[in-house]
Amino acid sequence: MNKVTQKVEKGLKKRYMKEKIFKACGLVSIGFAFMFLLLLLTDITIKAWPAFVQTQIELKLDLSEENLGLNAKSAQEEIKQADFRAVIRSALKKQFPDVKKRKDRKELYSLVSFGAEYQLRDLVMDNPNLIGTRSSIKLIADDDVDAVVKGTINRNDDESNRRVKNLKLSLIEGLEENNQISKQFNWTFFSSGDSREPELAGIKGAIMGSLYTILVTLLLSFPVAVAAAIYLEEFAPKNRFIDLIEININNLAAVPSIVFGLLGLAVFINFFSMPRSAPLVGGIVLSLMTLPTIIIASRSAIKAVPPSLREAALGLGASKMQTVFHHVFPAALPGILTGTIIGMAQALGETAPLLMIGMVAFIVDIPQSIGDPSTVLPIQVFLWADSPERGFLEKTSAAILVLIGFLIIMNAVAIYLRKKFEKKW
Amino acid sequence: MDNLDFNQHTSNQYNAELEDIRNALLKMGGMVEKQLKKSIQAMLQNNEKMADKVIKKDLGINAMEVKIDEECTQIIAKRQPAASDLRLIYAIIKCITDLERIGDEAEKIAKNAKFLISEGYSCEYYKSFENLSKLVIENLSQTLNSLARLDAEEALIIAKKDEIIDFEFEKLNNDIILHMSNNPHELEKTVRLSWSAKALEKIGDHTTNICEYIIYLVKGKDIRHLDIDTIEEEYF
Amino acid sequence: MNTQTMKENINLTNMKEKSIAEIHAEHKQTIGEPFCDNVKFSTRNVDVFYADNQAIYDVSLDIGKNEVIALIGPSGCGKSTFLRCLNRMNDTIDICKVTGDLELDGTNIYSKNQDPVLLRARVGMVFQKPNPFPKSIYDNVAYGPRIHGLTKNKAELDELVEDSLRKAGLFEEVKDRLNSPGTGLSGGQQQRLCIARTIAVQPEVILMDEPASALDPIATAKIEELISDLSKNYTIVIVTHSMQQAARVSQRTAYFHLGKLIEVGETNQIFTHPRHELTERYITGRFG
Repeated sequence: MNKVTQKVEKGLKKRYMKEKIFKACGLVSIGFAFMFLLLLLTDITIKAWPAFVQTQIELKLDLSEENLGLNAKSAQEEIKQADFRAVIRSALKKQFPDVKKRKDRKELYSLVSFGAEYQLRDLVMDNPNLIGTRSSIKLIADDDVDAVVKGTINRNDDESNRRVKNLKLSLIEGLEENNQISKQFNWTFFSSGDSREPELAGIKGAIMGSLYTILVTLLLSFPVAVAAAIYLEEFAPKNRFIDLIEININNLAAVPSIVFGLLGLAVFINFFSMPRSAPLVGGIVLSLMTLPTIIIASRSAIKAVPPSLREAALGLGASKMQTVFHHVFPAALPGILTGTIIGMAQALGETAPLLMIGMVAFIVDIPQSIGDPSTVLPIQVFLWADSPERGFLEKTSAAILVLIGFLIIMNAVAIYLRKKFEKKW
Repeated sequence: MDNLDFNQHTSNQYNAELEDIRNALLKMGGMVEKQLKKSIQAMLQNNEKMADKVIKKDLGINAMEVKIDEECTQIIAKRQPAASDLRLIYAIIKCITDLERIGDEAEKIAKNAKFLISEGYSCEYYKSFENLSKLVIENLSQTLNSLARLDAEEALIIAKKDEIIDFEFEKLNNDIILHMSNNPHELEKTVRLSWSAKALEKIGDHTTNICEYIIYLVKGKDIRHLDIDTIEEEYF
Repeated sequence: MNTQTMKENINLTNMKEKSIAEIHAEHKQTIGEPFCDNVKFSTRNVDVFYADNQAIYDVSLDIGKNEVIALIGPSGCGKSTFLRCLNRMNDTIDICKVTGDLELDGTNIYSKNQDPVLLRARVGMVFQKPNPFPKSIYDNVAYGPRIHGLTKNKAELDELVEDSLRKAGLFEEVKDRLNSPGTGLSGGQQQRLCIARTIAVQPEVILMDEPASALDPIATAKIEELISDLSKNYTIVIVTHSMQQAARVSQRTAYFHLGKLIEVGETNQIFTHPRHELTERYITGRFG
């Protein structure tokens, strides 16, 4: 062995050791990040779990014609006017004849949700044959009942510390003994809009609001950003003006998002008198915000297209336009799409600018178009997190899960699209 | 492009190979020149031993030709010489063929000398033979000089001098023929003398060929079978 | 004659030797025969600048009809730049400025009336690295005819594609997989595909920028064979780093050095006895 080999061998151990240490550091970092993510997700999932389950009380309801003041031939309008509340209350009274005091009666009536009568009404309207019958119907329970059943409120706590008083607890237990309380998957959560009552509050309004907003954002920012990126990369002359634009696009990406909200408020709502709280304005504002992201991503994707491809097309006598749209753009598309999805995901999770344009309002109705007032998922999270009722705690976590689900779906779509376009050749 | 040098290639190995081959060529030239001188000496000084030596040594020259030939082939295969390098290799291959022939002619003279010595023959034409041989030797050694220096101008001058050799040979040959007809009993010996003179004339022609290769090497023009005066006008 | 004197001689010539830079600086006029009869492309006093750097100095060169002319020279000598002047590929570089007369069939290609797109349809180009489009083999060849509207219907286009692939000597190899991607072919096949693509536009001149430098010897030999076939119908200008290649495929050779056209001549002559010292040094590999 010569001297050099000896020296190399001497240092070898140290080098491999360094490598090992570095690898270990990397693994630890990844493990750390992963652990936190897992912790967060587990926490949210555990908290959100009850939100997907709904407590219902099964009551024997007397839907006789005289009780409702209806007959089988009644028109829908008449059914709408009928007094379903009385039906529910009489059923409750019948089951618990001991409850006599006015105050206690109130407790009794609040076993079922405030929305139960509407639930019953919709059921009867859909199915008029029920009129004149006596049938057992499952009604949505009040959030307090829900909490007791799910165990969020501890029955063994001292009465003074308990939200649900002894009387109500005994009523609930009475129902439980009769097997009248059941749990089922909470469809309401996905099918209704926001509500003051936790047991009635749903996320559909926010989902639709988010979808409309993202749609507007996508339709506005994608074409504009791609056009801008292509122009800047392929057609723009190299001069100071263009340099200035480039610098400003990069700066724009770093502007705090709330500033865009202010801009939206001042320009679109105050100046152009566009509707408040609407996905239209929200989408416009968010597309302003995502534009720089998509432009920067698209430009680097276009830059990454090998010049040989452009030369090949130009050498055949293709015009600049043909070169760009036949060859450069398709080749850059996977990168452009990735950038777009990243921008969209960013927009989906954005709250601050939307607060400024009034999308933070309490809106019960599910938006039907981009002009309707609505809210979006992250703001729904924000609103619920702010509410005092216990039942909203789990809803908040559930909404976060839905939001994360959306982001995962979007990323999956992005990966799928990229693979598809790349796979082409 | 009159300044040729075969150094300064990016590849030093290539430089060395070309230099080796050139040295070998010049060495072969030196050997052939010596052979010729010795064969003439052997004849004029009745030195049989020397004649034997010359005959023996011709084998060495033949071997040298083969060796240089092979080296040239290898350079062509390995280096794909172009321009002046290509011309150099081409000229070397051509030169060694002519040098080898000169060697053969020298051997012939030595063989004739041996025969004449064994017969104890001598005549008055040895003097003109010596003169002719001096011209040929001078031409050959000048040619080898200009080959070493890559001097095309000198090569042209030497090539022109071949006419004198031809003239001298013609004269000597006429004399020998006259002698033959007068002394038919010596015919066997005078024929040998005539052969030797013919060998000298041939050596002169080979020398001229070498001069032409030198001109090709330096000027890049093939001047074989051209009139010397036109060559001079066109290329110099 | 001994080796001693020979070495002295060599030393003597060495002392007389000028440096390459000196010879280049002294060079004024192109040596040899830059002009020819039956001209296809004629260039006179061409200067090319990249911003303030001059890349080409006063080049005048004729390119004859149906001839193969090779441009050789060390890296950075401007041969590629000159080649790219011929179909105005340099237009894509903003800072590049071309002056002088460049005429294709007697019309100035840098005049205002000359459309670069039209010019590039007449003067095709094949690049150093095979650069097929990421499309099928068929679409690669059909692209040019499609954008120029050369064929009336699908049948005509099919015929043109087949014909072009045949001329490029590729049809037999790919006829069963015309719809598979062009990028899936081997390097040599890709380059022939690029040539087929160029031929499909039916240009008059084909420029080739080191077309075989990225290929193995067999693929190179096929390309060279193809070039000599094509020279029957096309005028071909080829830039190459391989002198053997230039010697094999071209009829004329032009030697560039640091932006100057040093020598032009018959290929046979250039490779046996070049007239200029720089050419000699380049060809024999004596370059610093």
